[in-house]
Amino acid sequence: MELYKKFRKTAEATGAVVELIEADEKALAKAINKAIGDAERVVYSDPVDLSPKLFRAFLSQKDVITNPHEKDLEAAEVGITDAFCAVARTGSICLSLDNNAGAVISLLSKKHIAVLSLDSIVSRPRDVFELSAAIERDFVFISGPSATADMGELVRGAHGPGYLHIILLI
Amino acid sequence: MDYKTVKPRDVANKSSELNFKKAIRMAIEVESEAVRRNTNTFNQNRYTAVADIEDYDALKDRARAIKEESIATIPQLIDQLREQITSRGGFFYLAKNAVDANNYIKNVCVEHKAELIVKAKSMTSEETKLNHVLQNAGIEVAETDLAEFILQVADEQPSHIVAPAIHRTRERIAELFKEKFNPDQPLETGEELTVFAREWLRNKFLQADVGISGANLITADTGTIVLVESEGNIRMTTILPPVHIALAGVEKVIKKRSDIAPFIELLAPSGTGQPLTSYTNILRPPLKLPVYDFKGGRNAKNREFHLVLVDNGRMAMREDPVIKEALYCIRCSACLNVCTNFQTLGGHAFGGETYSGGIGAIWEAGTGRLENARFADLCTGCSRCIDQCPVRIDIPWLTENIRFRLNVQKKDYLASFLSRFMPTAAEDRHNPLQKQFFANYYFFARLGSLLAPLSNWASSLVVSRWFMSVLFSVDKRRKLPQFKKETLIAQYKKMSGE
Ligand code: SF4
Repeated sequence: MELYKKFRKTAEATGAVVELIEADEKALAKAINKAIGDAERVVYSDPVDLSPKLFRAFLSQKDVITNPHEKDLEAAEVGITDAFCAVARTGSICLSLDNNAGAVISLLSKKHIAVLSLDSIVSRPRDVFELSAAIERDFVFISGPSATADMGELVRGAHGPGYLHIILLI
Repeated sequence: MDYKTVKPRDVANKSSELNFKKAIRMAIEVESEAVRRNTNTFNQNRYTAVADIEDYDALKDRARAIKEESIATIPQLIDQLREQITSRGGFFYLAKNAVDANNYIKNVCVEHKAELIVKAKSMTSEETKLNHVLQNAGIEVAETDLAEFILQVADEQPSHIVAPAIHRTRERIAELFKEKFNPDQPLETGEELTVFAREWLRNKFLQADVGISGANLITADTGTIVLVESEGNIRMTTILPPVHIALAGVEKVIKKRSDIAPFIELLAPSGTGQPLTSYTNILRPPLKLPVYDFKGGRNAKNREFHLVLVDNGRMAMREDPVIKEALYCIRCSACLNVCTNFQTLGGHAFGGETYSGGIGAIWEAGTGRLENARFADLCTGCSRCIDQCPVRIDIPWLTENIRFRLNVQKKDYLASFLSRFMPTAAEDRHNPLQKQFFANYYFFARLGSLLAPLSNWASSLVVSRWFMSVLFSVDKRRKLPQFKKETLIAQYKKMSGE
């Protein structure tokens, strides 16, 4: 829980929203729906690190694009992916880029919702490189929404998503 | 002269003393405000961010050791890397110089009949002036890092190694966009400007045939490339187009993937002062992702990847016991942000055609001509940057050495002739007269005192002031000290009864 507290603080400092829920498909469906709000084009990628079963309830009730084509990706408002770990010191989550549609979904959507397991939080970036899930993989540390300060002030939402919603499963 | 109208590009090359002076005036009048604010923000944030790293010093030692070992073994690492990249279906090219690298990249693009290239920020491509070569081949190049986008629109060189458009205030960006794009809605806030640029560039990303990036680090053991960014444009550049070309200097190669961590833990805290920036990409391209076809009509099945490593003077830097230090630099910008002179001027004055700040002088000299590093003069040797460098480079020692080389090279015959009349040490006789004058101040003061009051009269003459201005660069408006026959030391001795 220490790691979680630290993670929550640092992730919120990057501009992300963090919530902690039961690892249960109904609870997850509720949380995702809430995070989606009124947004319309919702694209989803099959999880590569979490069990797909967790998303069953969500997929059964919502009009979600599960095998997005280029046209869907281009116009996506919300993108849902999983992630394989989180980093307490930096507020980052790590997303696999290997054979994962989540790579592009998490990039082109306006809002990225990422789901991962609470016990995947590690302390520092260096600890990620020790994980077996990271050793043979392409991945990205995502620390908050995309941002820029190039236009004279800090703006969240540069080329990538402007919102990042992290759901941790206990 | 109105320095406000001086174009940064025209004074980028500091081999001309006049350019250098003009650039300083321009920077003070036009760019100082923005530079000061931005560098100060980075600087303050850095202090907070590094304080949060519990083993900061040990981490710096580790990073330094890894770089030392890597630079010592570059040839072996390159062989290993080539093997890694090609065994996974990528292409590897080691370019001797800028022309060689640019030509290789151009040929790849032409072969693919590329019409549009998206580029992520790459200082190395600024160094090689890649854009010109691609554009001359009839290919459109879109810089996608928002700061680089501003520079491309304004036709200016980077003013900072991490935040290259740090010299422009929001107002000056708004003016620029208004002039160049004439948007329907006026753009004022940072948000409006960003949304405009994002939409403009999103289309380019989806249509682009080739993506070109740099690299923060490359590991020889696995061909892993590390790319650090905040905007998501590097992710787009590496994921969306079917062809990815990464261009980097040979000094970016380290041995092992397991050695990446110290660098990413140090880089963002030392640079922008964030624990990590929004995206830190750990990639072994070609990526194992499908080829997307937003443009329509693509039939490529496989992604293509080229790694272009460029020497362009680096291997020679490696042989130089002093200049070699610069190869350890991870381009974090801490030394720029902490530097009071840099905070006032920014990299259009305190910088060359590509690289800025004290460390930038070494890079300009190493990858170009020594004279291009004249702006090393702006380092006062205060040493404030040394402790901030994550790889423990003694930057003032390097700039001093560069200045020494410049002085030796200059062969100032007048100075070496006149130095015979001053107690200048033999090895310093080639130094500029101004330096020699002040280094021998005691000698001149002594002379002035002996000859007082005649010396006071003589030095007040218009003609003497003119001479002093021309020979020793002592401004005519400066008030000179009055000499007394009796020196302070003599007076003191008298008073204390010695
Ligand atoms: S010299 Fe050191 S402090 Fe300066 S940019 Fe390079 S690594 Fe950073």
